Amino acid sequence: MPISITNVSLDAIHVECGGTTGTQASLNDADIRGIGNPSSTYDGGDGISITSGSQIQMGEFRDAEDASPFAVLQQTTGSMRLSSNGIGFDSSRDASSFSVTNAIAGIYARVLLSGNLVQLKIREYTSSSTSEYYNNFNSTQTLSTTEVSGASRTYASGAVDALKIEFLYSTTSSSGTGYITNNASYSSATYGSGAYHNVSNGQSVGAGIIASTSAECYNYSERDISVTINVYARGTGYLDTLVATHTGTIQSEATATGCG
Amino acid sequence: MTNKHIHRVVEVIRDESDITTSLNITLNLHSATTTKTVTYDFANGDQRTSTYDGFEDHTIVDSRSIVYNIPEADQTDIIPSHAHPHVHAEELAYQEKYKAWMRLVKLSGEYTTAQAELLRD
Repeated sequence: MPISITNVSLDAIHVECGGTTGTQASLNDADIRGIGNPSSTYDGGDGISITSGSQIQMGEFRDAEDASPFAVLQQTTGSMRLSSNGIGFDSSRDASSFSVTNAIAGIYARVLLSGNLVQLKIREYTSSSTSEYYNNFNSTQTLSTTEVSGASRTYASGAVDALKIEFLYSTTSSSGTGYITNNASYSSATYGSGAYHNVSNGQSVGAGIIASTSAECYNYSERDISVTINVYARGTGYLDTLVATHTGTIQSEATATGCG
Repeated sequence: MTNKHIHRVVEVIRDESDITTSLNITLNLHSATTTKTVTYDFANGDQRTSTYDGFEDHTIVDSRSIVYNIPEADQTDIIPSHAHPHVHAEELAYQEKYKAWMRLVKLSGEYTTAQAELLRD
């Protein structure tokens, strides 16, 4: 918990840094100078000096927290590449028939806690679409309705208390009928997206995002999505941390080749 | 970053011979989508109603316009009918033209730049 911004005491700083209340401490102690996450609002924007004997002030510890971020998830062999290396996936549907109702393309994603392993898993929403992903060798692979690894990492025992997954997106729509659904329920996930959920072994947070188009009477409709999937971890002694980001594209097109 | 919605509006421009010469394309950035309903009247008298994510002018927060000049080889004088009876072959031929235009428009630098400008935070 961050140190109060009023009535800062050396004892409160000591306790935040793992010390026992009422025991001896000094501002010059290495663990106090090295507090994990000082507030830039109060530390002058340059952190708290860790040089022994250098001048620091009590006020610099306001709103500071002795916490550090989680390490980010890592790509593994064959896993989907992270956004830092390019778009991770694409799902598309191009439906053309006399009448088209709900031509869907999209993906599901969930992040699973398995023991101390956090795994992001992504799959195609429906086998009716055509989907692919880019692996960590930048090679194109088929994305099916079987989950593939997005990234993973094993953390210290009990480090992760809660996980969050969110979908941020932009859409481009033609005139014509169709819709975008974010946070589509994902039966394989224990909890939904958009908020932290406390998770235990075997539980996950996840959701889907889809573009759907329909067309009647020789009309044409199109919905495109660019989506960013963010995964966050929360745990005692850690800062809430963005641990993985994937980006992808989704397109749905519907063309009606007849009318009544 | 917040979720954003762009609605692409296309106006087909024809010359005095009804040949399609260019497209006026407006990309409107909307603050939200609006649930709308459309009803199709079929030739046999049936109707079908669909609900969809549509757009209203009052939610437009920004826009960009571009002009796409249709290459001569891709032009057409077909005018699709919006009423019965439809001329099936002409409807399909026009659809192919229209979809080909859209594919090229979406690859053009003007379009991608306009889209990126609207999506910039």
